Amino acid sequence: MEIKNSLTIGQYVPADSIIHKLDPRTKLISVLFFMVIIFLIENLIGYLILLLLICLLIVISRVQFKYFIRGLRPILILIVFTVFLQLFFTKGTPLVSMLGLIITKEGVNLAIFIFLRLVLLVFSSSLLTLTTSPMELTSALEWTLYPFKVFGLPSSEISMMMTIALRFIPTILEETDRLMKAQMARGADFESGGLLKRIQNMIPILVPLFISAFRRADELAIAMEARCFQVGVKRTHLKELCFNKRDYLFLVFFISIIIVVSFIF
Amino acid sequence: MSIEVKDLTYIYDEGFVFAKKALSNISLNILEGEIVGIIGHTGSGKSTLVQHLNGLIKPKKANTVVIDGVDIFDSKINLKEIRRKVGVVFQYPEMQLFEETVEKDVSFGPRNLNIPEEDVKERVKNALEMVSLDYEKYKDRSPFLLSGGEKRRVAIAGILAMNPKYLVLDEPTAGLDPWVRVEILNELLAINGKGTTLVIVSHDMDEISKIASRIYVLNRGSLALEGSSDYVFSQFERIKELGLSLPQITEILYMLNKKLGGVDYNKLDIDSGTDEILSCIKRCNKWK
Amino acid sequence: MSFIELSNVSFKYPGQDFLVLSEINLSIEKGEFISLCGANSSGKTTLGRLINALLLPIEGKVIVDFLDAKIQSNVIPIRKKVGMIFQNPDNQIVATTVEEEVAFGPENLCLPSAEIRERVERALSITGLKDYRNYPPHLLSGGQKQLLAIASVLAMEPDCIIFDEPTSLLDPSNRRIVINKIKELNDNGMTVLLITHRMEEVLLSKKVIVLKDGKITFTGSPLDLFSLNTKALIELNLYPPEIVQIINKLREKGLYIPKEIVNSVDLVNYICQ
Repeated sequence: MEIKNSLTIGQYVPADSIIHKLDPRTKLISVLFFMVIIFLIENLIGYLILLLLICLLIVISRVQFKYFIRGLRPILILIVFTVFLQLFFTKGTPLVSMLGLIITKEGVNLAIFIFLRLVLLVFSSSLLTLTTSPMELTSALEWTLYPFKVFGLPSSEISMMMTIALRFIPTILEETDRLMKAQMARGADFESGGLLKRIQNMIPILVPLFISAFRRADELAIAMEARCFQVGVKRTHLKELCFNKRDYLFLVFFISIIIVVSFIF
Repeated sequence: MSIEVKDLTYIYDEGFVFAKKALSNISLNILEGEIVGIIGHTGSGKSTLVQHLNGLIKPKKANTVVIDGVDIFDSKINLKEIRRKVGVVFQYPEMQLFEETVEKDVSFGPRNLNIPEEDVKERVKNALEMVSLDYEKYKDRSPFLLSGGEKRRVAIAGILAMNPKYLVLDEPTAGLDPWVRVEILNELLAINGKGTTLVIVSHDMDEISKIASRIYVLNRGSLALEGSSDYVFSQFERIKELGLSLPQITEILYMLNKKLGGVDYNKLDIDSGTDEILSCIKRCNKWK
Repeated sequence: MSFIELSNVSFKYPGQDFLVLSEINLSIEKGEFISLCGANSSGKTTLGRLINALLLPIEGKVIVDFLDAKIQSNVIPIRKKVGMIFQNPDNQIVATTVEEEVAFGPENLCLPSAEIRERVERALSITGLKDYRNYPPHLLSGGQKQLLAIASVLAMEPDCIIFDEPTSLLDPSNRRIVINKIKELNDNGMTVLLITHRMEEVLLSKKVIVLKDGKITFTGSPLDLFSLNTKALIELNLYPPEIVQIINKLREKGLYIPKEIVNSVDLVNYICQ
């Protein structure tokens, strides 16, 4: 597990682009908006325009296309499966027959729509996560949860928890790696056996990890208190989120294009 | 029989932009019954080397790591058998404790080796004894409620219970109280006395000088120095160059010799070392 | 009154029935470099935590810069004045980058962004971590992590820093990095309380306090401590370092060695006279 070699956690790819410099909230709002529209459009040309728009933004973001294609990998099976279903099992005017099943015109249409929808979803969410650091994302999320404070939701505490979780992921991965090696040196086997056996075999890893996590949490809490952290008390930030002209322009531009497209199509 | 490492090279992430050469052409020999010390800073490649010794990392070429005549590069070898033969205690091994009782935890190793139950208890008893823990007193205690030194000992016992022929320990006394360090070193000497070959990886020169008969010094993945401990500790300039320190008494004798001459600086223990200092002074006073 | 004053302080943890510390009287002046040693259960960590109000005494008073630690509203001001660095480098870092970590303290103090930025820059420059500002903590070495912890505490602009065994989990080269920085901080006026069991570190301080079973058993200069013979040191539950054992052995064998000699270079020079 040589994951420790990567400077980035998750998907963030640093680059010098306008998209990177946008306030994370701008990007979050835009992406959410975009996703809603994806499901409202029912027209091929509409989808293609949206696709063009996203590709344009990808180019502006200066993040290589391969990262976006990689984003499709986890749901590749889903894509193939749904396309297959639509292609072969939609009723309508038959076009051609293949493998004993009938492909209809409606089927082809729906298959293309589903395909484009999934691709647009992946590309737009990737655009968000590839151009925004985890820290910025949690700040944006904290801001969106802020209104719910009225209902008692501890938004800044949730944000702190997310930051700490992100901070410890590589550390805990390293620890897991070390533990596995230590237990393998005692003859533990993590590879063979049926599902139940494998889960049982993980106990020598899970128990120490949990114990270590509890101790860690304890020590961390004390260290945080020593630096005057108090739950529930207002905190400022090194980098306050700040909308500026660029964000407003982008939002206006982006949202208007989308609305126009959705009305036409 | 022995552990032979011949011309071992290991590169992490080979082929990638951030490929790192951890070991370059390392050759060493560990003979049955001896205590070998491996000295190196963090980044010297010592943990990579250790992981090769029990097959956790497989060498990329044949005939580079041969344990008791068995080349571990061979895909047909029984890894469990290798790990039974070569026990490895990693740094801060108390992290691996997970069972409800000390007895159950120390039994983990032998049970994985399919040792029959009747023999497991005997092994646990012996292993605990080797680290000066009384079986009856400790067997039902929770490993998590023990002191740092006790936890360390239970972890070491966990490997000893597998009856390894070769025992490799990575910084066995790291983070421990000075008192406990001395105790554990003595326990290790006794374990070697009973026939187990020891390989101790450390950066504490004082400790290694007290226990190892032969030493290999690793520096940035290559062997910088090797030989008997007497020889290695006599290579002062080289050791200083490598950024390592000498056992205090040897350093003092060396400096004295540089200034006054005629001092035998090949002393590693305090008693004989101080005698040497005193005889040197007597000699110098005679001249005055 | 001194900067930090403990009078007749006793402490026990809830649920335990023995005193971890009893009748401790201690004064720390501004600018001092004091080391605190003792065996593992001597109470050294507890003592450190009483000074920055992480723990409260069951008896006696802890006064930091005229503020009584027992008064709730004094707790935050005290923690601003007295920072703490812990033993485990990883378990005191909360943020995903070096910069964010240093900002954590000032953020808790609700300071405006611009001032946080200033403090972060200063702290990064003092600890030499400016080039690492965007690094995630897991890519730092143990020594660098401790430097990061130091920077995060410096950003709170404390008058005193308590170091609780900061080097015990580090290897020799990383240890040197941290200890040198601690010495540098004190040279520039920071009050330092170093809790350690390493005698080489004790030698850097000007005053050493030895705790045994919750009581202070020795107060004096490091030289005074090390000129005690091996037996006396063991009585104090201290493990005499190699050099001290050598010097004491020589003394045993009849050689007179003045108490100022505490390292190998000085010893050799003395012998050669």
